[in-house]
Amino acid sequence: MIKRFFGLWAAIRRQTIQQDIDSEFAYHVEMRTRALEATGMGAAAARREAERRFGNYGRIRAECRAVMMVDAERKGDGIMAQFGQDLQYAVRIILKNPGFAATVILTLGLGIGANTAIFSVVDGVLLRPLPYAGSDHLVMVWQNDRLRGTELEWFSGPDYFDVLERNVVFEDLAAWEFIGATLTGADAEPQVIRAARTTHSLFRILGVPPMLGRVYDAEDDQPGGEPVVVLSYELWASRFGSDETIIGRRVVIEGNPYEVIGVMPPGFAYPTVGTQVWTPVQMGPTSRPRGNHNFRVVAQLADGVTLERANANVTAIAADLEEEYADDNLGRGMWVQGMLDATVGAVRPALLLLLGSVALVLLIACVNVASLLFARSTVRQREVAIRAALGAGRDRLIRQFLTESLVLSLLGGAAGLLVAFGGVRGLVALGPAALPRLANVGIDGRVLLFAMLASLGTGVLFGVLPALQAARADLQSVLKEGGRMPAQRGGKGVRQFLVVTEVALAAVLVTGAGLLIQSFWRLQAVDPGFAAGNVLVANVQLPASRYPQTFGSTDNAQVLAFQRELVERVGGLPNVESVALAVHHPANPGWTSRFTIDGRPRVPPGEQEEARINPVGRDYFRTVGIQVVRGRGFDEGDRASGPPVVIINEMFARRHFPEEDPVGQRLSFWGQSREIVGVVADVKFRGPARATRQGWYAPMEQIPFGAFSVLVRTAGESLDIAPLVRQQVLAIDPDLPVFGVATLQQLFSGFVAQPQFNMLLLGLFAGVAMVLAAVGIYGVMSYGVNQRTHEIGVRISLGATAGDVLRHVVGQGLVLAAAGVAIGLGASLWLTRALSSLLFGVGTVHLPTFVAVAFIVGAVAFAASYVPARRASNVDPMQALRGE
Amino acid sequence: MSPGNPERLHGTLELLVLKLLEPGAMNGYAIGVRIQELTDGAVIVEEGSLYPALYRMQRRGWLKTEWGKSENNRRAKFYRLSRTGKRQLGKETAEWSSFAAAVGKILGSG
Repeated sequence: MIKRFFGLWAAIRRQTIQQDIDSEFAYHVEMRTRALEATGMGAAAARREAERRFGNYGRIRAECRAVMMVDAERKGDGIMAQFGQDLQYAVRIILKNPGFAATVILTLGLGIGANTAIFSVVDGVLLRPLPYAGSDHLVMVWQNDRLRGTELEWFSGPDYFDVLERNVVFEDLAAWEFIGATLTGADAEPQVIRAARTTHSLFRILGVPPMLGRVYDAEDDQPGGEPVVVLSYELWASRFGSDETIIGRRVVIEGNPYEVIGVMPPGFAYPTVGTQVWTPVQMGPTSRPRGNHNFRVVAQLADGVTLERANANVTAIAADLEEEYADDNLGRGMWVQGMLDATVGAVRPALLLLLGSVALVLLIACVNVASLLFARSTVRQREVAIRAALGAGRDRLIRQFLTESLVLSLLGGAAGLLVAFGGVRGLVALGPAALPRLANVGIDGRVLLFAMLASLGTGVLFGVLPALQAARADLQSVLKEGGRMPAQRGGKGVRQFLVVTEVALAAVLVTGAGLLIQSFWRLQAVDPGFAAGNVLVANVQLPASRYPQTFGSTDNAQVLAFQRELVERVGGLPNVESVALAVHHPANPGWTSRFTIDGRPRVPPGEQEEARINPVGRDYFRTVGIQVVRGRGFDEGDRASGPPVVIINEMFARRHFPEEDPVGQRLSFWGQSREIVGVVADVKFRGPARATRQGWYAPMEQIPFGAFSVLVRTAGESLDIAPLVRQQVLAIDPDLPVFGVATLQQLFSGFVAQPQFNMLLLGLFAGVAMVLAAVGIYGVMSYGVNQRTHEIGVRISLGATAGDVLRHVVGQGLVLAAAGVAIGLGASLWLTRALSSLLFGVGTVHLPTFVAVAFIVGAVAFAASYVPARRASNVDPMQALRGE
Repeated sequence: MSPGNPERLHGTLELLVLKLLEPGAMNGYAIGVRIQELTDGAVIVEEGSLYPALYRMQRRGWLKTEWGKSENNRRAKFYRLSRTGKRQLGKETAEWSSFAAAVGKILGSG
């Protein structure tokens, strides 16, 4: 059967049927001639007689050829049999021309696969509805502070209750705060857990029922209620071995026993990924001060209430509260934010950018497939014309080309599926942990379907084109000129347009990627203000139950004793150059506080500035590598009992003491006046992209805190010492966990993880786009060379050298590329403005990047047209002129 | 050219070819010679007219072909019965027998 189709195809391509018939007939005539000679006839006479007996050679040959080339439909087989034949024919044609097939499959695979992978990530993070019931009605309620110009302020307890009481727009309202907590137990290491203290309404609003037991209700959530806790599935599985009898048992958190009443289902982790326990906040309308803003508030909009109406309502309530409680609420407004926006707002620009890239790459892939198939359709016009002339119906031709396109497209789709699965896995592995909801990402069927339909649709549409043209095909003109294909003028224009489009789209993506790479380099190169190399960070939290801490008092004897002993022990470890404690390590932004400078006019409370504060141990500046630029660092004398002192950063000094020496001046905060004894270099607290803030440091012994970081500068690799540090902590207190162990370098690079991910994704897109564009240029150029073999042969025979031909063909490729690059860069000027919020230190119009893009795209275009050009320059003029 | 072609000549030729190929593969020339021997030239007028029939039968899937060496070591095309061809031979033989019997009956009783 395959042989039969092989014969059919060969008749069109290489006329093998014709040859077979001729040699079979020749054999017959020759055998007959010999037989006649054997009877004694002369050679010439025998030959004539044999030919006479054979009959009308031309007619018989034509009849045989017609039989072999007529379509199988004459047999009257069923549709399925026809489909089988079409399938075999399609497979044969694809195998006949593996380069073309590979190109189409590669294009479809990359187009579908890369897009699905990246689209799935974008969709999972940005587009998919939140996994909570009725999440489209969920909103965050924030306060803002007009005096300080901040927008994402938290609520105080009483404010929350007032909104709960007075609002007319929310179905329900819940408040929550995070508490640092340590889970201890007889049979396991102490563990720091992420705990949320919430109002009982939270579970009601989210609409997620517990997997085991129950969640807390209004009765549990009263001041003085029983301590109860709900566990996350993940904690329950890892810490308690998925023990179902856990319900009703007690666990110890921060030294206090809590009764376990429920376990949430897997994946439930509101408010943030990694939340492990929930306990009722047990607060009354007045049990917390109105000036302490600890709570974030989530609400469920009542039916039919819009965001605008909700905003108007909370704004009005805030205005009333401002009047009623001017001391605490002056300048504090309220506003409502959609939940989706609140969850992914910060990464939205990056993801939208990627979405745009997806569209561009998909477009390139489609253009590519279209251009390849279009080029091919003109080649096959002759085949179609012949088959139509031999009686193949138009329907039959369309069915057959459709089959062929489908086979190609499905192979491409399968390749795409592979790329997609690999891609999603890779992206999730590469993505920064900070990217919200990344953990939920999997291949999205709808996305895959979308990409498949777009690409396959293009494939099928352009694949069937030759058959559709068959209706208009004029056999005479197609077969004229000794079988050489007449070049299609209109077709050439279309193909060139497609290539220019493709190159332009690729240039846009490469420009975007180039800008992000530039930006990332600059980000990496920012001086953070400290020397992060070889510094270990470990965190310790002393539970207040065993280490009493009175805020603002220096009389926290147990805390001080623990800290002194720890510094002494760690300092004695091998390879340790210096050790220091700090409430916030340099990559931790910490908190801010208001202050006044002694001797300056009094500023009303609402207009006071804030500055970052960090209580640090004696050797902090040396350990972390922050330079003391004026005065001194902290020393042995700065003890709890010593005179209160403070060290400011340069930003603070520039802002408040531009003309005078700050050393010797005094500033007051938390009810105490302190002498400024030194000025240190600025530190990029919040990552290299953020502006430096004014701040100061105070001696830790004068402001003791139970939660702090241990910083250790070592001679060798600092992570090596981590287990020893942990040992020393446990040696002092076996119930204390050490957590968040990392090098300072790792912590700091966390800030550049998101930009790096953006760069990687756009880089991938740009790479895919470049490959596709190269494939496109290559396809069109080599098609053009094939078409013009005759013309090139004429040129060579008229004296053109191989070099002339090479230059001519490459030149044509470069002209197309240049047009594409010019259009692409022009579009980039406008399109990359969307990037501006993602760039650091680079304008969206960056000449070196543009030049580099032109160069890269030009080089790829050169390479893609060089191969066909080489082939053209090797054309043998004799063969070319003789015909196909 | 459907299998039920009423043209007696063609039908006869096809049946003869099938029958000849039953024992094994033969090339076109040899088939032609055998048929002429067997029928005294009654079926084949022009020797070449055998070929369109062979090609048709090949297209219908009754015959398989391959290029091989002939007895005098020349490259020749050989025809062989396919499974469909064998079935077809059985069917046509039965049809032919009943047809011949019917004709015989008419002629014999006439």
